Order: sequence, then structure tokens, then C-alpha cells
Amino acid sequence: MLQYLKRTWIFYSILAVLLLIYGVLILAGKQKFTGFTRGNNACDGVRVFDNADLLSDDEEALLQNYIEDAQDKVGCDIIVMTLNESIKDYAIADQGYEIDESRYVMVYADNFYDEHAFGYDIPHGDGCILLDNWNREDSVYGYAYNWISTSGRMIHDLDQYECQEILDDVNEYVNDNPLKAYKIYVDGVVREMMASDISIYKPGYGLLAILATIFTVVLFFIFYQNEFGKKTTGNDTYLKKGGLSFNRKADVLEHTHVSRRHIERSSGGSGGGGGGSHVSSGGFSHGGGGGHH
Amino acid sequence: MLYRCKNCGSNVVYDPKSKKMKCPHCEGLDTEDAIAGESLENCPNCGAPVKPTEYQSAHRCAHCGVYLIVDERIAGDYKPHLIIPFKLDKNDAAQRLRTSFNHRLFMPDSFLSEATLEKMEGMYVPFFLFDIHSHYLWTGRGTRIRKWVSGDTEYTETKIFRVERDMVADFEHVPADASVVMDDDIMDLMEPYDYKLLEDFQQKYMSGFYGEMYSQTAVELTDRAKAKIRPGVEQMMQSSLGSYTTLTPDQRNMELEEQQHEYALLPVWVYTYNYHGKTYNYFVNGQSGKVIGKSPFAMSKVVGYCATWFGFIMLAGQLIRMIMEVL
Repeated sequence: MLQYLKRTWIFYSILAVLLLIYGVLILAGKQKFTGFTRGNNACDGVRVFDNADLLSDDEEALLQNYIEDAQDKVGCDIIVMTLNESIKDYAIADQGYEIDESRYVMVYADNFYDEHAFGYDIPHGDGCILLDNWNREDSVYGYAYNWISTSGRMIHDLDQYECQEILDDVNEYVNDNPLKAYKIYVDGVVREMMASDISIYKPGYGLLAILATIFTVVLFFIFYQNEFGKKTTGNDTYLKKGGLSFNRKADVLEHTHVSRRHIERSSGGSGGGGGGSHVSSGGFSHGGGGGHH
Repeated sequence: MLYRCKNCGSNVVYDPKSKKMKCPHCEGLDTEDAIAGESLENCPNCGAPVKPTEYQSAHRCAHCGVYLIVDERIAGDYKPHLIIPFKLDKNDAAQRLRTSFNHRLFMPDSFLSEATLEKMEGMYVPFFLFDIHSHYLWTGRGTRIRKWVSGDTEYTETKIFRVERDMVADFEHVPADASVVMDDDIMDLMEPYDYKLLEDFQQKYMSGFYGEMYSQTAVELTDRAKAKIRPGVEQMMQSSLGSYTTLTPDQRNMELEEQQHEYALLPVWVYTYNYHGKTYNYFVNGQSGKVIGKSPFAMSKVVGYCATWFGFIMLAGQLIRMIMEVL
């Protein structure tokens, strides 16, 4: 038993230290994360811009409060904007060339975010805006497009696919209940941001069990030494000192020949491109993704 | 025969530490008197019946505990030419074992306990040491290939050589254990011994230890000694053939010829450990301290340690999760 304790004390010590840390944190009353500290005062606090007049005043106030709570959880500005007008001319004029109809909302959202200097940490910093344009901009199918534009660290933490997932959820309800849909947008942003913050720290029990099994198996094989001894003699262990000699050692060149082979050269190449973030006409980086309803 | 102390009458044994004959009772050095035995069957000290095994040349009286040397088994054809006296005493050998096995977690607690170490005995194992002359003739063709590219053309230059090697290598004191009792593979692993400490045989070195006379003849063991050096000779030839891309032999002829052999006794400590009805033997080279042995496993320890490691990761992971939640 003494030998067992001598050989395992390090494990029990680590557990004791972890337990101690946990206890100290509990005693210190640091039970909840107190939130982020806002660093940007260049923009006002309005986060709901219902230009399409989809929400009542009460609903707007409710959504504004809902967003304010969410912002402090994730340390990002969250903006909702609705429109019901064509922004085609605006977008083309801004870009200086024809762009896809689904991207008009992207241009407008990027510029709106930049012009209002949104950003939780700094102007044009961490945040995202949902622009939902109810004008049926699509000339073929009559789609109304919306877009989530991200900025700052959200460009990486809320990628294009996550934006599209959120918009899929939003678009499921937006026609019948816009308030519910925009709350789903806020919830989706919070969920994805929290997940990106804590996922590396909280392995599931399945992963823990796998890690524990691997750790155990590795240690078992390290200590499972059953070897019967190693050979420690070499080829020359018993060679007499000066006992190796050559009566004859000859390397005589008999002939040489050279062959030639023509090398076929092939030409060609390929290229490719990626996606990712883009830069608005204001010169700021944005990410995000779009959808339609 | 046995060695008796002139001062106190106790059994004098060879002491590896002082390299002298030493009386363990009065600690007198070189105070021995050789007492001849009258028969194989009776202890010359106490007269109790003794029964050395078929090949034992030195053993111990089970009744009075003195170390006995069987004269006729170290005389005549059985007289060893050479001996390496024990350099490590019992404590040294036990320490070597402890050092080697200390880090093995799954060993039973009783392994190397004082009680079980009582069973550790020093033993002189019979070996024949062969001097072997090797002659290796290799002739054939070798090619060296070089490639380079110039423009759109790849050039390959092939040089063909006539290669001849006539190599001679002399080996000395190639050991082969001459005991049917000791496992050949284990005795091979005991090597090497430092032959600088080889001495002409003196029977006093056997007092305090067990010993065996050879039970296999030099003629029987010659091929085993040759087999030991054959890979080395081949390796030396391959090294001399150098950097050819390909080698095609016309003739390769290795001849190994025994030139002489000597009969020697080499020291080994043997520790016998019984666990759950199974016997485990451990061997320590009595000169170099090299350890050979196979670990027994205590299943309770395997389960205990594995459960500790598994539980540690699970608990530590859970605590980290809890800490992260608090933060």
C-alpha cells in the first residue's frame, strides 16, 4: 500500500489541487461570469431599426431589451434592421458594377454597420447586424433577401455556414411572427458565440472516457515490461585485436556504359479560390452569410 | 573438500569485495585450511549425508551449511583451465536486481524481499572458450550507377567492377556454456564477460558458491560457437564491399576453423522466485552485473493501477469542467 501511494501520489495531488481551485472559486463567490466590459461609446444604444414597420412599439422595446441582455453575454453588438424597399440602385452604385440580387442586402448591411460605428469593443469592432429586406428583390422567384453581416472577432466565430443556419431558423418564422424570428436570430448568435468560446474547455463524458482509456492503455504498456534481457554483444566483441585482415581486396573497373532517356515535359496548371471575409466600401472587413424568404 | 578457518574453525569463503578468502565468523582473511573430503556422500564437516546433483562440482551441506567442493569434479579432464572470480557479492547482485526491476509497477510485493533473497546463490557455470579462425573468399561483380539530367535528357552511367575479397578474421574466447542445466539462450544473454579478469583456475574461488562441471563436451559445442560468430564475419565482409549499387557474387566461401578451446568457469548469481505456483529465475552476471529476468505480474496491482489512472483522468476532467463552469 505504501508503495502504491508512493507511485500514485502525483495523481492524487493533482486532483487535490483541482478540488482546491474549485473550492476557492466557489468560496470567492465567483459563480457566474459577470459579462464583458463595453469599450465603444461612438455609437448610441439603439439596436432595432424597424424601417419596414413590422413590429409594434412594444415589440421593438421588448426586442431592444432582449438584445441588450444578449450583447453583454457574448461581448458583441447585435443589431436588427428591417427594410421594405429596393436597394438595388444603392448597392450597384456602391459597388460600381452589377452584383447578384442576393448580395444587395450584404452591401447595405455592411455600410449601415460601418456608418453607425457599431462594435462592442471598439468602433467597427465585434458585432453583427441582421438586415431583413421585405422588398421582393428577386426578379425570377420573388424572394425577399436577408443577410447577417459580421464584424471583428465574429467574422471567425460566426462563420458563413453558422449565419445561414441561423437565417434558416429565422426564415421559418419571419413571415408569421417577425418578433419571434428576430429573437431566434439573437438566440442563435448567443448560442454560436458561447459555443465557440467554451467548446474547447468542456469535453463531453464520452471524450473523457476515451481520453482516460487511452491514457490507461498507454501507461499500462509503458509499465508492461516483460523482456527477458537484451543482447549486448556485437559482431566484433570476440574479434582478436588486430585480427581482421585482407589477403586480397580488389575493385577492378571492367567497363562503363551510359544510357540516355528523353524526359517528356507536361505543361498545365490549375487555380482555385476561396471564400471567407470581404471588405466593405468603407474599407472595413466583414463576414457573414445570406438567405431568403 | 572445504575450507576451514585456522582461527575459529568456521567455513572460509571467497569474498568478492576484498578478493581474499574470508572467514564470515571471525572475519579473518586468508586463514583457510583445505580439508579434504573422504567421500561424495558425506559432509566432511558434520558427517551428514550430502547429495550433490549429477553435475555439481560445488554445493552446500543442507545440514551444517558449509560450502563443499567435489574434488574429483574439478580434477583430471574436468579441471578448468580458467576462471573469472565473482566480482559482485550477494548484496551487490540483489541491488542490481532491485535497480532493474524497481520501476516495474506490476511486480508482486514479495519480489526481492529479504526472505526470498535468501534463495539467491552464486554459481560458477562451465563454459568452453573457443578460438576460431575464419577465412572468407568473396568474388563477383559490382555495379555503381549514377544518374543526372541535362536539358530534356536523363543520363544513366553504369560502371561494372570485378570485386574480390579474401578476408581473414581471428576470434578468441568465443564462449559457449557447457551446462545442460542452464538455458543456452539465457547464458548467451549473460555475455559479455571481461576477459581481462580471467585467471588460471584456483579452487579456492569456488568456496562460498555453487558450481558445475561441464556436461557437454567441446566437440559438441564447436558448432554453437561458430554459429555465434558467423553473422559477425558476414557483416565484416558486407562492410568491406562498400558502396556498390548491386553486387552479384560468383563465389562466396566462408570457412570457420576451431584452433583451440579452454575450459572456464564464469560467475552467475541466480535468484529463484516462486509466485502463485510458478517459478521465475533471474540471473545476474557475477562480474558485470547485467540482469536477465522475466517479470511476474500481480493481477491485483494491474487492476489497481489501471483503475487509478482511468479514474484520475475522469475525475480530473470532471473537476476541470466544474471549474470552467464556475469561471
